[in-house]
Amino acid sequence: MNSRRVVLAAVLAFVLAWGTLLSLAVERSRHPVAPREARRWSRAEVARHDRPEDCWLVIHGKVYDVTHYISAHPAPPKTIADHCGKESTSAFETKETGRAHSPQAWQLLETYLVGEVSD
Amino acid sequence: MQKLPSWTPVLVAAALAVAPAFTWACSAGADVLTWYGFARFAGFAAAGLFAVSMLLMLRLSWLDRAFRGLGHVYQAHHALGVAALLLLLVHPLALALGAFLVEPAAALHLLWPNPSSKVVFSGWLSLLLFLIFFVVTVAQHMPFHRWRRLHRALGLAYAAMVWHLVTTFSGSVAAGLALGLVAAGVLGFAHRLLAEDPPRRGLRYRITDVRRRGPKVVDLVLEPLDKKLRFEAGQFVYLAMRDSPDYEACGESHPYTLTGHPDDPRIQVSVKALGFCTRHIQEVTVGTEAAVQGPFGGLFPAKTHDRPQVWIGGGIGVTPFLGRASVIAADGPSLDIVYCAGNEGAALYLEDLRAFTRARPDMRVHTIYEDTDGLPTVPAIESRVGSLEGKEIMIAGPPAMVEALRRALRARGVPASRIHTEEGMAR
Repeated sequence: MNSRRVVLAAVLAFVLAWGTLLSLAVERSRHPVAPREARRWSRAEVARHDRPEDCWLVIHGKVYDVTHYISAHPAPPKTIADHCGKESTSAFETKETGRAHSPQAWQLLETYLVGEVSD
Repeated sequence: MQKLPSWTPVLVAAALAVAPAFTWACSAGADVLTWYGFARFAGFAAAGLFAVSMLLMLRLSWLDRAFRGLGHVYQAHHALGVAALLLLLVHPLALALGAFLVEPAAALHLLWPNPSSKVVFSGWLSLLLFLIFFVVTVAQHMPFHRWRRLHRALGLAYAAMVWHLVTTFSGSVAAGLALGLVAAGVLGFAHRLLAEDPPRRGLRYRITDVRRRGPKVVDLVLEPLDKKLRFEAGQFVYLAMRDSPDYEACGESHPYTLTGHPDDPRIQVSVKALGFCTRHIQEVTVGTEAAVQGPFGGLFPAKTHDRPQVWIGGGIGVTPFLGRASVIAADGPSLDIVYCAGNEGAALYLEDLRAFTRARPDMRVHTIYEDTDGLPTVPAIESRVGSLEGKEIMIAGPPAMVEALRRALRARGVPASRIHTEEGMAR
């Protein structure tokens, strides 16, 4: 098979895969999302979830369990993992580069809400 | 010293290209067996392959020697570019699929060029530009000058890829390696655009004679205005005409085989009207200056010089044989030249080649005319030159003919090391 055919076949396969994935993502997307039942957590309790495999963040007084999201985040896992169990408002607002997250990212964050901090 | 196998430089280039990807895969915390890890690996590999592909479009004499011909360098450039595109296509799909399995909404964020995220936007911009220009230039047949303009536009896609790498830069060794490699690719691209492509770059020559060889072919003789080009018989140069009072140049450089003797201070080339620029050169006048880059080409490796040889040339592709035949000594090795053309009228250099055989008893010229004998096949060649066993075979001509003969010879059991070709000269 020559490269001309390889390129055309690959592009076709890409467009099909992209279209399928996009339509499935739209269909199964959880927007808008009803917040999960809120619970109140102390900062000490949140601090116990300080590992990538059990990662909670505190943002604007709310607690988010982002354990399963780490692998889906566009940036390297370390970007989130460094904040597990900690107050992360500033880090989330600025991405530590002075740039803001998109409205979609804030919307997505709410899907991981597990409660609020109590102290 | 024994030369390394011909695939060695390709292997070295590919290894250099995937170095950032493997460095990342070996770093702490990287897991290539997850969708996310696979996506990052593919992304690093694509960036590295594009970068090395950029470097492999340079007309450097050491690359020409290492790859045994600039044509092979361009083949590697093409192969690495296509491989990079395939990995580039995998990158966002694997990333989005990994996200989808966790959270479909997160995948949505990755599946379109979201302008609120520089990482996602730059990545998609790069991918879409690569897609457009690859489909247009690799997957389409088009006139060379248009192809070249569009192929150059891939630089825009490459620039977007650099932007994407900068926005995702994490400070890791792998990311640093990838950025270094793509930066080298940017320099290579700039060198090609600024130092190689401009038609004024190269040794200065002036046309002293223009001889019409056929309805679509002219022979040009050029004399050096400054330094003389040093070359071996059968090599080729990139040549670009310059404007003169009588002639407006097309502004492009193209490869032409040197058909004269290496000791002659003048150089001779034959130009067949195959496209816009070569058609224009048919009207070139004596006194026009030209810029010459080179020499390049490895159709006649030194190790073959003393062995029995069969040269198979099609159409204007026989021109490397003119130069090489002129330097073969009277007591040189047995040599059979097979001239393939449509008919006798189209065999424009037949008499020149026959002239060489007069003083060399072990040199013979045969013909295969498509109109009467059919296409040049291995049996047709063997019926003229005898067994090909133990002979070095040089093939030059239209790419389709060269490829068909190479495959047929391999199927016949001729070792690849005995088949020498000069592909990719046209571009």
